[in-house]
Amino acid sequence: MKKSDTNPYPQPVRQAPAAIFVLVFERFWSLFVQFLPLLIIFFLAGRAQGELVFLVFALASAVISAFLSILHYFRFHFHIKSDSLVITRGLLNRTHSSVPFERIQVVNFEASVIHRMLNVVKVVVETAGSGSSESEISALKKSDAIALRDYLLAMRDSAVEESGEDTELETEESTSGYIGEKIFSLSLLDLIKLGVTNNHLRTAWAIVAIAFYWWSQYWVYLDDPGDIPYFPMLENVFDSLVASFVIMAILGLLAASAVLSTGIVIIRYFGLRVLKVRGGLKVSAGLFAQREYSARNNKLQIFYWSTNPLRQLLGLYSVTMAQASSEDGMGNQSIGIPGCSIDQVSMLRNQFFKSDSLEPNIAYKPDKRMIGRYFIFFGLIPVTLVLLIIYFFISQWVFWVFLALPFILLAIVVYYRKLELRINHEVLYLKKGIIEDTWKLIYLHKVQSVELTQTPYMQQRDLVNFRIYTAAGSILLPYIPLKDAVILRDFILYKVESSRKGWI
Amino acid sequence: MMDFENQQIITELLPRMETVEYEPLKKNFLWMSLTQNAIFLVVLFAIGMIFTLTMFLSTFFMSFLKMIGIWLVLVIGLVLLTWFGFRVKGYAVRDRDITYKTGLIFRSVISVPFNRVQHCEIRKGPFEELFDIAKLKVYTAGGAASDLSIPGLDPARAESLKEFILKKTEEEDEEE
Repeated sequence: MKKSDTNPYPQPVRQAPAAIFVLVFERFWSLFVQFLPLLIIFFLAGRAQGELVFLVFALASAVISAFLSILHYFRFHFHIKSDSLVITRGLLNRTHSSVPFERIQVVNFEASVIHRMLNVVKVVVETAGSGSSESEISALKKSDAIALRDYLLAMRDSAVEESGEDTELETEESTSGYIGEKIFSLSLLDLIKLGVTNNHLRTAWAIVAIAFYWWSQYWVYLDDPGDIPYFPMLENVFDSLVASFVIMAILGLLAASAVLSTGIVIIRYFGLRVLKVRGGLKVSAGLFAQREYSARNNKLQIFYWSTNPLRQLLGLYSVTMAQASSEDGMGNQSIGIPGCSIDQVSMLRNQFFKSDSLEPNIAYKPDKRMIGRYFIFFGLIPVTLVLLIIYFFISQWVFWVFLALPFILLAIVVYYRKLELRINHEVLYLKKGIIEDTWKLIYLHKVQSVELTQTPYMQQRDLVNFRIYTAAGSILLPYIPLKDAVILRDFILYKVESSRKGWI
Repeated sequence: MMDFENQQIITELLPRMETVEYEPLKKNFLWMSLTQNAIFLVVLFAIGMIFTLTMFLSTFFMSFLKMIGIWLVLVIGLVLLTWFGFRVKGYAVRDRDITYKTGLIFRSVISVPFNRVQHCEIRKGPFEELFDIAKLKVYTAGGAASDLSIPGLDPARAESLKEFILKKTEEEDEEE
């Protein structure tokens, strides 16, 4: 703690010299991305007349941008004053930006491949409040960056304490320093498990669509045998060829999906570590670009955890922490942890929610009539449309489409049975899902607004859709009785209006 | 300071939203909506005429009658929707929140507590200017869908509402 009491940057200084490389590299990369379409056209078109001109132009822009990047490095200074972080930058138009300590929300580190090769990090200072919400320092030595962050956060805390805000948050924990203790990490094996057990349903839908396309082509041919020469003895061969091709395609796509999602999971979450720090959690992960995210207690809006049957077998749950990004709430920042055990879920949850806040509660469920209405909107109407389209444009043999109806009904019934909202004096808790189960947890005092909506059908039957907005997404409980909804609304409004806790 | 967090809440004692009286919008809003509808309908009529004249010249009279028929149904439908829709719209201001209800066919009631208001603004388009009304928009951090906007207020009323909300928001901030 004592270390972070002395100002590490009393005088304006430049970034680490490595920043030159980082800046030049970033410039080149963005140039490359901009020129990429042109490059592709060049390669596709073969030798074009403008080749030399293009080459000269590209080289010139590369040289100029490298030169500008170097100038930018020398014209970028930062230092810490008694009350703020000051950054001065710009070639001709000098920009002085100062970030008052008390407005600092989090200090994040990011490291791309080039950062890691040079052993530096990019420091991103996020602030609350509308307007420009971020200040960046492109490259600092890791140790310097940590010193900077610790000092900034220590100053932020004392500034905030002086002004008397946020008291509830800051006294909660007194872990020494900001490095924090490790809560858990994921190994490569965990990541592979996660990739394989990913939700392949979307891929399955794509497979079904493709299979259907092949199949319908085949039937069209049979309807119009004039198109292909008819070889009776070849028919069986043709038949089995198509069948085996479809099966192979399905298997191939499933395998491709598994490999692809494993790859994505590994790239995104390689070396994932979750640290407990003062006032929240810190999550770092990434194979090529290691990123560090902060989940602060006060910024968290919705805490989700979910699992699918495959993952449940392995005892794996994924957790998402949806945060408001800044005080104007524009956009949201979600931090995902793709896999953890149920114990780890409750450990993470306990970081944000007191364990007794999940205690006895009242449950609300949608009305049974929801099943029938959803069946009309998501079953009968779409199926009829698909049927008509197929009938008029593809094939007259369409009645198999009705086979979808029992599955849709089953899905709706499962959805209805799982959907449930629980509420007590502090939190609101929603469970939903068809195949993948999701639980969402929200502090009542973080609700932004409440909306009741009714269709004509619902007006006649005194049912309403109940929607709650937070700064990081909304929650819907459909088809609840009007009298329950009215009490729920009154209660939630009362909790919000009588709460002295900030929502951010 | 935070004692009330532990109090048991008896739902019967909660301040009830259902008991509030909704204030209607200014009548001029109805006239404005009807004017806008009229302009839309006239334009639609003109397009229909051009269409009928160019495409169905041979059977002009019958086509013209059909077009007029469809158009009249539209006119009646829109006028009725606007008329009764206007009577459904209303807002209610309580000490700590504001509520707006709307929708003749699809009803919606949205409530925003003052201590979650980000900012609010008054908007006046050319039509509003003409009919001497204003629209009050109340922004929260919950995204565009959660914002509340009340059209058809008297400009002076809109201004005083805005000041009232801002004052409330500041009070809440100070208390925190």
